[in-house]
Amino acid sequence: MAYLIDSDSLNKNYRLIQKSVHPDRFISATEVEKQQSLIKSTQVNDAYQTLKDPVKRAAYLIRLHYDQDETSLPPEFLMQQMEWEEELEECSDEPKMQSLFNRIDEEKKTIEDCLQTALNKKDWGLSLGMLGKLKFLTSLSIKIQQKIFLMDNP
Amino acid sequence: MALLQISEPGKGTLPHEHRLAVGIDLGTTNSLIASVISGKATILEDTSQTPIIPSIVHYGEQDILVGHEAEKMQLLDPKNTVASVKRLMGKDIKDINPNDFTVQLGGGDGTISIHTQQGIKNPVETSALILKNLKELSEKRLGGEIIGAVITVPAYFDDAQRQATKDAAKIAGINVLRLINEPTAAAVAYGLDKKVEGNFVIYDLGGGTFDISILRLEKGLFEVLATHGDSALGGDDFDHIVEQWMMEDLNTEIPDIKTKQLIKNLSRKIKEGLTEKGEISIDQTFADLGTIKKTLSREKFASLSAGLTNKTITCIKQALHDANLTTKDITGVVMVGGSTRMPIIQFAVEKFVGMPLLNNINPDEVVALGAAEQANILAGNTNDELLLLDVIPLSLGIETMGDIVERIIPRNSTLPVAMGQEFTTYQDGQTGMVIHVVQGERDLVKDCRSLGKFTLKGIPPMVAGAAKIRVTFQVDADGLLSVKAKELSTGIESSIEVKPSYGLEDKHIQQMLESSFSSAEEDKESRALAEIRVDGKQIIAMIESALEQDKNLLNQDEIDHIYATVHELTEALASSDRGLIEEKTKLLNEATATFAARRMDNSISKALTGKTINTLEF
Repeated sequence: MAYLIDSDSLNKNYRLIQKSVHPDRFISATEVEKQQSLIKSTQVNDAYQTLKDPVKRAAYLIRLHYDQDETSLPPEFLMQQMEWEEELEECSDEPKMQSLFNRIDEEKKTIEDCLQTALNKKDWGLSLGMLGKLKFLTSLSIKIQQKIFLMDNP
Repeated sequence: MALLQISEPGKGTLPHEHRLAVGIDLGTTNSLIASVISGKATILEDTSQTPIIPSIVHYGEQDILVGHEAEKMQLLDPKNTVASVKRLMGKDIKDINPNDFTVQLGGGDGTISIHTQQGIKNPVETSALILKNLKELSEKRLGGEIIGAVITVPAYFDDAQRQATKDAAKIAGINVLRLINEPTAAAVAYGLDKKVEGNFVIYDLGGGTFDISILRLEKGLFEVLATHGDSALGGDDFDHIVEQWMMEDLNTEIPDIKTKQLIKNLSRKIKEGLTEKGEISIDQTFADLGTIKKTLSREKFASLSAGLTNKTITCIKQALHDANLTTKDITGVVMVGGSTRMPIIQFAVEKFVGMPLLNNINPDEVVALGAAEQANILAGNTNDELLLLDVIPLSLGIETMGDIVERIIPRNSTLPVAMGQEFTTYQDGQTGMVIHVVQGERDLVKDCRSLGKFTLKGIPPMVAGAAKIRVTFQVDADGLLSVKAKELSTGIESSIEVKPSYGLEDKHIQQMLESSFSSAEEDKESRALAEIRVDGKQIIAMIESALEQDKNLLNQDEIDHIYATVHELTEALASSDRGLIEEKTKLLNEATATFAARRMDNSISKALTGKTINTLEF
């Protein structure tokens, strides 16, 4: 399984499979089949959510090959984390917040590229480190978006 | 039957037979029932030739009235007339304002009791009376027994409210094909699935609830991207604004319940009048209260109710934000619910989204019509490939130390969904654990909706923190939750399964169910025997046809075992022993579980290869 996937065919296959296993197709089936349909349909949703999301997909790929699932982030990154968090705390207007968001987004793209390279090289330790960074950046960018939203809608 | 269905999803099992199925919009103020007749979703009218049936129940001295008849009793006997029962469903007395109701309410321990001259009633059985009335009406109109119904609920309904609705249907003797969200039903009615792709906002302002849903439609597939709303905001609140405006100069309390009702009705009339006219004048004298002589213009009404209107716009913003969209990404806006007839609402929404609204289907009927279409699909009457993929509207979690909620399933997860989390003990030798299930977005338990508590016993005694308990939440396609807990650390797995029951226990529902059958004991017995015989025969037929198709998925031992079990059931069916037939049916179901699983896997591969075949054909 490779990290890069064709999201169009993922979506297409997801729909095809759900159409054949979803509980809506088993309204008048036996209890056993209803149960099976619920289990399968649940699994298919889980698989889709895992494959669709780059972070979840990477985590899953690493878990398949590597028995560790957490790693400590390097001190420089932790320092950088604190700086970003502080900057977000102090942000008082939207343009500043937008600029922080853009920088985080840039950083995110860089890390995503590194993660992809590491995964392709099957360097699971390095991948795990990159994933840790990516997780942080993803949640930070959601936090910034939420703050921007609240600023627009007090 | 679905054993046959697998290879051709969506196709009816018996193509020549139209199976009667209905869609029910069980509303706060009014309810509607519809069915697909000759290929067209049609509202079924009651004897008074009106499609809209008041969701009102009157508990008389002897009899029970439902609908229009009960509505008349609202003025004559308000103390025994229950309106807006939907607001009580799955709720605790502390969640609601008893003054909003003319009937006396009581409660405690998670339920609400309705005090009538016929004794204490509960919201679920009251709602069941409304449903039963609708069911009887539909069977009269359609000329046959219905196989089931799709019932709509506000997208924002929590698990307790959904479960209560399903229980009410059960008591009414209705087989629930699916609970679907009201906005989703509206989108189906507009046929958005067939014509277009894009992101749609469904703005649903009913009598008592407000819902926003963002739906993505793509290739016959619905996805609910986000839902938001306010389960205590509706047209009634706009009536209340008018009521306050009427009363503002009087400086007195409304003296009695009847005058209160008159004022309420008048307020509603004024509000509705402002849909057609720019202003409405009143000049009316009430005994004990005095004369009200005033004029309300549409502009004044708009400014008085700006708080409510803005609240709805904020909900749209929040839902768009949750779906990661902006107004630019919206393809269309569907207006649902009688309250969206108000020009002040249409104007505000149109202004916010910057495009004309979809409002050409009667906003009172659109939900029931969509539900009827969905019921028709689920009953297998069409070749429609439409598949609704709904989401859970509110996060589910459990209480942990310090009254903090640990979220297990985040809101907007696509259904069905299952997620788990591991927990541990905090005391040495702890052998039990109370699992408190809550629903909501807040971090503290007290700010969320409590769905139920259950105790997990028999944890092997060990030092604090050594036990590993995995709690799994499964939410089915109706959005209903079941919870499982397992102790893993010792390798011994003990597991229990609990469905939160919200005050009404299964045996209580069973009692209500039985009391609704007036037939004698032996009648019930012979009916039950007949039903179970039909079920048994059906299962055998399905399994035989499945074996014919997919025998290759089994080895000879497995095939022999299934045939032997089929034989046992066939013998049992020849007897009149209900217990024996039940037991053998259960055995046969167990014996075919693996077979069903393999067929399911097989159908997945087929679905995927089918794609290639299609590509080749075209």
